[in-house]
Order: sequence, then structure tokens, then C-alpha cells
Amino acid sequence: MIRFEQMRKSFGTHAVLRGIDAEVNRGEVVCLIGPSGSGKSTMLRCINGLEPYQGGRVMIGDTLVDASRPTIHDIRTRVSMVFQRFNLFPNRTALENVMEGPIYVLKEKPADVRERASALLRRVGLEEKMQAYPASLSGGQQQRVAIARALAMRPEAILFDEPTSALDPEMVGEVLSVMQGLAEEEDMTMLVVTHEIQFAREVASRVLFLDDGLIAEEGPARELLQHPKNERTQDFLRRVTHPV
Amino acid sequence: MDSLVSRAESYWPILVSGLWLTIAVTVAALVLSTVLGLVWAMLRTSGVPALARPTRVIVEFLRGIPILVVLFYIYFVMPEIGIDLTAFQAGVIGLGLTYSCYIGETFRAGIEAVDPGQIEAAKSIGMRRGLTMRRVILPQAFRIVLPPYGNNLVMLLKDSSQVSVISVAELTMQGKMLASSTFDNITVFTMVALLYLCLTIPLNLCMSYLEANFGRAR
Ligand SMILES: Nc1ncnc2c1ncn2[C@@H]1O[C@H](COP(=O)(O)OP(=O)(O)O)[C@@H](O)[C@H]1O
Ligand SMILES: [Mg+2]
Repeated sequence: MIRFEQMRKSFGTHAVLRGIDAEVNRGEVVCLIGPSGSGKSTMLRCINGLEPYQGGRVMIGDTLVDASRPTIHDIRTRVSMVFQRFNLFPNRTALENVMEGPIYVLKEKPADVRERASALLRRVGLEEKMQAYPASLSGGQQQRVAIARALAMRPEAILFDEPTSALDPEMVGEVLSVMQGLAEEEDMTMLVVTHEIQFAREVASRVLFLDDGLIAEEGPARELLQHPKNERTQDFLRRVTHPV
Repeated sequence: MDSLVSRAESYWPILVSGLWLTIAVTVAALVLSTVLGLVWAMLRTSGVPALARPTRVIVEFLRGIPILVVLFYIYFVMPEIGIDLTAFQAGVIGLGLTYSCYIGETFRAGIEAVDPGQIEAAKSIGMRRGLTMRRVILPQAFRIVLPPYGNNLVMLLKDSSQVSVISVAELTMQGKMLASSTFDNITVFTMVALLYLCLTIPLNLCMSYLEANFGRAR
């Protein structure tokens, strides 16, 4: 579904991604882990054309991702994104945030969208908060609205960029359990950048370890997380599971 | 005392006619400068150098010329190249052009103050540039821009007195003519000043109200 082939990306002279080969299959949950600054966000942003890349290819299904082509807008409706800092529209209610894309981008009928958006907000446990503005919601609630907003586009896949990193610890669980629900009940294709190793172990089918611009190790989640082969992976996992 | 009241009464209709013209000039120049300002801001934030650079030059150019000179230029030079304008038209265009630069800069600052994460969120649900502008950036920039826009409006209202130099019979002009024919400087100019305050004070109050109840992000 999402495929990287020898993909390279640099900012000016700084080569951030130096030949990425990776794949996320339909219905699969893949976690992307790696040290801060290793290029995890950049990798996600290249999938939906928020960043251009310089070499190799990124494919979504049979479509080549090319940020400079006008078709990039259609690609973005096929792959939704959930951000670390939620990025909800502050001047719109939770319900309006979810309805925005379907009405204005997909041009669906507002009455139908309202019904579907309400159902999605109910699905993420926010039926009480439909009319609330983002500023009056907790971080965990805002991120759940953001997930509903992503789902409202009926995407083929969702990209999550550290969806729980900006949350207070007591709110991490509510967001992860919504994500787990998506994976298990709807077979949603998901690529998740996270430091939540427990989540990766329970929900992900595979884990990619990004280090120094390359996928340094990849494998089935349990195997890679419990018995990492690469020394850098071992090192990294020690640091995130036993913070100093 | 009695004569003061009767004098003021006799000045009143003339000054009020000037006041109406002041309002007309201000409103017309505000519309022109807001539309143009929006155009400048859009071009400058377009991300297309071929659009942004020339716009910047035009804006810097206009900002560097005093309003009086702009007014003289439009009123006296334009006819020489075949464009005849009434004093009112020249006044509105001069003020509108000059203020479009100030207003355009506040709009640009407002657009640039919107969190880049908002633009990413808009892009990530497939919004194109125009839709992102209309649905995401402008509504948020609007709140940011409201206070400086209000200040610009008040300044524009006061600067509309400058069009008196090209013989637009607005409030200041009427005051000057009344004063020179009656020699009653103190009464006339006090009334002129009070009439301006009748406009600017409510405007300022209105702006503070809007700022308190609307300018804040919810
Ligand atoms: N817009 C940008 N311009 C220049 N350098 C950038 C930009 N975005 C990211 N980088 C650099 O790319 C590298 C990878 O960043 P990022 O993808 O955010 O890493 P991660 O998400 O893994 O922490 C970092 O060194 C960062 O400084
Ligand atoms: Mg990151």
C-alpha cells in the first residue's frame, strides 16, 4: 500500500534520509521508531507530499507521490495524517473540524457528513463534546478529534506522528486505545511513529528502526522489540524503556 | 454666551456637510485600501517570487511617499497624462493607495502569524491553496488582524483631513473656510475637533469591544 524504494531526502546539504526501503501493506500496523532527529517525521511527511524528496520513489498503491504535481492533493485525501500537536482548527467546534474535509474537499452533502462525523466522534468517545471548541478540550480529547477528522476522509491509510508525545501521561492511554481499536476492528492501515514500545509490541505487526537516515533494522514487532539484533536498536530500546 | 450658541448654530450645517464628506471619503478609501491591501498580502504570501517581489517594491515605494505628495500627484499630475479626476476621486485614490500599504502589511503579518501546523492540517485533508486560505488561514488571520485594522481605520479617518489640500470640502476644509471668513477660530476649530472625536471615540470603543469579544481565539 505504501512503499519506499531507495528514497532519499535532504534539507540543503543535510542528507536526512539516505536510501529508505520500506513497505506498509494493506491492513497492517507498522511502527516506526528511532532516535530524535533521525528523520521519522520527515519520512511520514514525504508520504503525503508535505515534503518533497530528491531520489528514489515513494508509492501509494500504484501512484507515485510527487509533491510538485497537482495530483498531490488527491493523494492527500487517500492518506490522512495525525500530528503530534493535534493541529485542530481552533475556530471550529469538534464536529466542524471533522466535517471540514468531507464537505469542502470531498464535496459531500452536509447533512450526510454531519451524521457520519457525529458517528465518528461517538466512536472516539466524544459524543458529549461535539459542540466544544478545541481550546476547551484536553490534549487527549483533542487528539481523538484529530483522529476522527482523519477518519472522516475515508483514508486508505493513516499516518501518526508521535500522536501521544504532547500528552500528559494520564491521557496517553485513551488515545492509544482508540488507535488499537482502529487497527483491530477496522483493519486500518497505519504507520505510527511512536516511543510507546508497549503499544508497538501489542498492536504493530512490524517495527522499523530508523537510524542515521537508513532503516537499520526491521522485523515482526515482538521479535524486534524483544530480541533486537542491531546494536543501535538494542541501545535505543534500552534508553526508551529505561529512561535515565 | 448666548451669541456663542447662536454662532455655533450658524456654523453647524456647514460643518455637518463637511462631516458627511469626511465619512464618505473615509469609507470609500477604506474599501479601496482593504481590497488592495488584501491583494498585496495575498501576493506577498503567495510563495511565488515573481509575484511577491514586485508587490514588495510597490508597497515600499508607496509607503515612502508622504500622503500629501501622493494626493498632489494624483490630483495634478494625472490630468496631464489625460486622466481627469474630481477632487473627491483623487482624494479617495490617494488615501486608499497609501493606506493599502499599511493595511496590506497588517494583513500579511496576520496571515504569517497563523500557526504553520494549521496549514499542514489543511493540506493533510487535501485542501488546495485557495481553500486553505479561505477556510483556514483567513478566518484565523482575521482575529489576529482586527486590532491593528481598527487602528488603521481610526488613523485613516484622521488622515482624511489631508484631502483638504486638494480642495475636497470635507470637515477640515469647511472649518478652515469658516474660520477665515468669520475670524472665529476658537469656536470653529473647537467644533471641528469635537466632531472628529464624535467619530473616533465610538470607533475606538467599538474596536475594544470587538477585540475583547471576538479577537480572542476561542
Ligand atoms: N524543514 C526543515 N529544514 C531543515 N532541516 C530540517 C527540517 N525538518 C527537519 N529537519 C532536520 O531533519 C532531521 C530529521 O528531522 P525529523 O524528521 O523531524 O526527525 P524525527 O522526527 O525523527 O525527530 C533533523 O536533523 C532536523 O533538524
Ligand atoms: Mg518527529
